[in-house]
Amino acid sequence: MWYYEKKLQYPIHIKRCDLKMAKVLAAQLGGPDGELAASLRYMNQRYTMPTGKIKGLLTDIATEELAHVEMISTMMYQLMEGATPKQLQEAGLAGYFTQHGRAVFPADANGVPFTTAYFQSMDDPVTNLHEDMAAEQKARTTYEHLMMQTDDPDLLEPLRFLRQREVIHFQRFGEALDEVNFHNGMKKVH
Amino acid sequence: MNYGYRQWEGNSQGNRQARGNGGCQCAMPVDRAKLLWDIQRTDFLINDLQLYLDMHPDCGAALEDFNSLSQLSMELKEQYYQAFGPIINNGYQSSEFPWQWTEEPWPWQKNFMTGR
Repeated sequence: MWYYEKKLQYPIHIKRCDLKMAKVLAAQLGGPDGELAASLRYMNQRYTMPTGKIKGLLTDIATEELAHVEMISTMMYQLMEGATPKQLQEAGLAGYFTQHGRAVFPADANGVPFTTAYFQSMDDPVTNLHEDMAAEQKARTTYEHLMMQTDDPDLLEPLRFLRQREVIHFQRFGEALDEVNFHNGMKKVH
Repeated sequence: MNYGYRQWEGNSQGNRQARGNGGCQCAMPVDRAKLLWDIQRTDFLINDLQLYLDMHPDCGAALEDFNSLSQLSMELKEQYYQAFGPIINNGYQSSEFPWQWTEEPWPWQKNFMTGR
């Protein structure tokens, strides 16, 4: 069960038009290491986690990732709002405009539609948590690639915020992995 | 402590000062952008502590911060509700007539923070 809060996790107000950034930001919405994949990964994995702590952690991080989906979607929406078809063409968004107009659609930076094939859900918590830690690092690197392509503080500030959240989530998942290993009594070598 | 809330500008002490004229009933117009920023900052701290406490349930200092920030968040959301209507759906806050929830702007709109 969820409630909606009528606010973003971090404020976004983009004043400068930059359609090329709208195109590449899609990586973090519908891409392989994006926020939607992250949320669905943890949301599905949580059921078979072994301890209350880790069930709670995956629930809470999956929920926060949905707020990140909303932030990336907001950036794309604000960047594309009011753009002309010609401007969208020039930014490499002709295909996107043809199929979606200026709507937000979960695809990656190359227009490949989102797929659940981007993540796994297994009944082995060690397997899941290793995937989760890798996912957070891949998302961090993706944010760094995005930050290298803009000098607009209206984009950089929320991107810096989101990048830092990946670092924190990685830290928490690492602690969860320690917890699982402790729970297993260190009987197994992975 | 190892939770990362210092990534936010300011710290929990500054956040407590952000309460402003909390209990004062004077008819100052509410600065929507500042109030929303205070709510976002407070809720960020709470969210970060939430994850930290999931894995560190016996950390008393984090728990104390979590509880006082939760109280502050409720107060700030009550201020927002009095000035601008519900910020949380599904009956967390009641509505005046007519139904207030669908009033614009929504959070993804460029004028969300100012409301203008």
